[in-house]
Amino acid sequence: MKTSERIIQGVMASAGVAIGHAIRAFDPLFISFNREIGAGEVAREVARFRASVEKCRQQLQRIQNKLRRSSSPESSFLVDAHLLILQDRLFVDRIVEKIETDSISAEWAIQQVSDELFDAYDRLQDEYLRERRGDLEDIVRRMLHNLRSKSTPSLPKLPFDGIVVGKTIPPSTLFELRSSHVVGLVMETGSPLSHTAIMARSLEIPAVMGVDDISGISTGDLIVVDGSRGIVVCSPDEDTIREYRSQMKPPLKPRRRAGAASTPCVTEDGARISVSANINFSEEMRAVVANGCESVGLYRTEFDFFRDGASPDEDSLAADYALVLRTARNVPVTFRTIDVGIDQKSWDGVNPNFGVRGLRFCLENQELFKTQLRALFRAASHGRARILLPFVSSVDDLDAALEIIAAVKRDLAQSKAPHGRNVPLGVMIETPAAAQTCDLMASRVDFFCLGTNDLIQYYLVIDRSDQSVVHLYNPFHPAILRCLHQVNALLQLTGKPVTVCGEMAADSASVAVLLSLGFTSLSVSLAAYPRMKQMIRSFNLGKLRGLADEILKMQKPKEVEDTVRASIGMEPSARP
Amino acid sequence: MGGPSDGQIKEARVAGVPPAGRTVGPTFKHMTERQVVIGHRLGLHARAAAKIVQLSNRYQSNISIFRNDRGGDIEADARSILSILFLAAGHGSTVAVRASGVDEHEAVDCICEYLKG
Repeated sequence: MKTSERIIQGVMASAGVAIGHAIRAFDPLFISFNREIGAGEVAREVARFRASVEKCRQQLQRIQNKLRRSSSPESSFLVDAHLLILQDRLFVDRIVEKIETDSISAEWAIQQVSDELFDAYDRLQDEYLRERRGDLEDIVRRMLHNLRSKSTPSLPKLPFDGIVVGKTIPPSTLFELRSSHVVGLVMETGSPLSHTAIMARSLEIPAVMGVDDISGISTGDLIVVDGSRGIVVCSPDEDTIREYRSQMKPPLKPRRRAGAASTPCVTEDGARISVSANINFSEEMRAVVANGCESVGLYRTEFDFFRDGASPDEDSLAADYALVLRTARNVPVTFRTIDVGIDQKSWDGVNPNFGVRGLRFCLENQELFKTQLRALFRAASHGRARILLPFVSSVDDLDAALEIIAAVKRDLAQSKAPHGRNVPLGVMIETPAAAQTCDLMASRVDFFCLGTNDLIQYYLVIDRSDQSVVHLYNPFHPAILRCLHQVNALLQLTGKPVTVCGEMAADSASVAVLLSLGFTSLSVSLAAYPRMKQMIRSFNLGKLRGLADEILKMQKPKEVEDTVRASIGMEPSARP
Repeated sequence: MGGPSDGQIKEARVAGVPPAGRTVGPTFKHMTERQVVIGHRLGLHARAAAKIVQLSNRYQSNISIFRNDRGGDIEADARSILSILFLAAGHGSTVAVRASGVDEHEAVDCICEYLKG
C-alpha cells in the first residue's frame, strides 16, 4: 500500500541513516520536564520559577551593561524589551497561576503560557510585530536553561528511538540528548559547518539541516533522516523503511575499530601520515583512547567551558583538564582555548564571524582567558598538553596573548603551584591574515593548526550559516589551493609543524588535495577517524605530490576535484 | 479602524489573553481618560512599547490603553510590554489612555504626549 510518503529537502550535516519517531522541539528541554507536581510542592516550584526569572534578569542586565559600553549602545534597547517581558504580568503572573492551579512543573507552565502568547503573536496582522516573538523565544529558552540546574534530573531515556526536530538545537543540548535514545536530528537552521553539525558528527548522530519547512512534522511521526543525502522522509512506506534498514550497518565493535585505527597510518608507497582526532567534549577522551588515536589535534574547549551556562572556576577547570590528560595517558592533547562567537548569531544581528571571536574575545575578557590558561598550565603536569590559540589575526594579537601567557606562568611559578613547564604553544591559522603572515608568527610559537572551515569561509566570503550561499563553499576553489600551498611553503621555511584540522581533513578528495600540496598531518572528527586512516593507507603519496603543479594551475574547482578524485580511483563528483 | 466607542468603556478584552482569561480592570470612580492618535511611524512597536512601560512605571496610577477593534475594545495594561504589543496599534490609529490613581492626570498627559510621537 502506498502511503502518503513525503520527502523534505535539506542539506547533509551528519552522515548516516536514522529511523525513529519525531520529537518536535522548540527546545528539547520542553519534553523532559513536563510533569505534574504534588500540591505540597507548589510553593517550592513557584520559588524555583521566581529564582529562574531573577537569574534571567541578572544575566540580561549584564548583557545590557556590556552592550551599553560597546560600540553599538543603541542595540541595548532590545534587551530592554527582554527585561520588561520578565516583569510582565501576562507572562510571569500567569505562569505562577498555572503552577498553582494546575500543580504542574515550572517548565510545563512556561510552555503553556508561552504557547498562548506565541499564538497571540501569530494572530497579529503586522509582520514586524509578529517577528517580535523572537524576544519571547529568547526569554523562554534562557529561562528553561536556568531552570536546568545540576540538581534537576537529567533527560530520561526515551522509550523509543527519537529524532529531534526543531528550528535550532544548540550543540550543548544535542550533547545532553546523546544518552537518551536520540538517534537523529532535523533542524530548520544550520549547515554542515555549524557547530551543531560538528557535534552531531562527533556523536555519530545522523543529521539534516537547513530544512525549509518542518511544520508538517508532528511529535510521534515516524520519519527517516538520511544524513548522507540531506533529506528527511516523512510517513515513509514499508518499502522505504526496509531499504533504509538494509543500509544501516551494525556499528563496528570498539575492539575491531581500535585494531584498524591504532596502527600507524602509512600510505601505499610507505609515507607516514599523522592522523589525530578532534574532540568537543572531555567525555570523548575515552573514545580517543579506545580508538587508539595517536593524538588529539584539536579539543574545542568552549563547549565544556560554557556547559553550565556560566564561566567555571579555575579549580574545577584544572581538575577537568587533568582528568582529560590522565585519561589520555601518553596521547598529546591540543587544547584550543575558548573560541566564542561562532554559530551564535547574536540577537542584535551582528555577525560574530567578523567581530569579537576567538582570541579577540579572550583579549577583551582577560580574566576569563587567564582562568582557562592557569587551569591548563596546572593540569599540564598530568600529561602531554599543548595549547592552541584560535582566530589569531595579527602578530600584535599574538604578542598580547603571549604576554598574558607569560604573566600566568610567572604567577604560577611564584605561587609554587604544580604546573607544566614545557607546554607547546600553537597558533590556529583560520583567517586570511594569519595565512598570509604565519611565517612572521613562527618564531614565537611551536606549532600551527590550519582550520580550513573558517579559512574557506573568510577566503571565499561565505557566511557558513547562510543557506543562500552555503552551496558556494568549495574547498577545491583555486583561491583555497593557492592559499594552502602558500601556507605550507611559508611554514616549511620556518620548520614549524602544521596540522590540518578542518572538515577538509575528513573528505577523501580534499585529503588527496592536502597531501598533494605537501601536508602530512591531519586531524579529523572521532567518527571519521578509522575511515580516514583506512583510506589514506590506500593513497599513493608520490603520485599525489606529482599532481600538485597541475592542480595549482587549474581554473575551476570542478576540474581540481575531478582530477584528484580520478587519481584516488573515485568517480567524478556530482557537484556542478 | 475607528476610535473607542463614545463614553466610558465598560467591557474590553485584554490583548494577548485567550478567551478564558478575558478580564477587564476594575472601573474606578475617579479616572482620567483621553484619546490620542499614534504618531509613531511604526506604531506601537517594540521600542515604543518598552518606552511606554518605562514611562508608566514612573506613576502610581493604574494605566490602560484601549483600542477599538471591529466593534469591541481591546485593553492593554500599560505596564505589560506584551499586552501593548498585542494591542497592535498602528501608525495613525486612535487609542484611549485611561489612568486612575493619585497621579492619573500626569500619567495620562505623559503617555499621550509620548504616543503623539
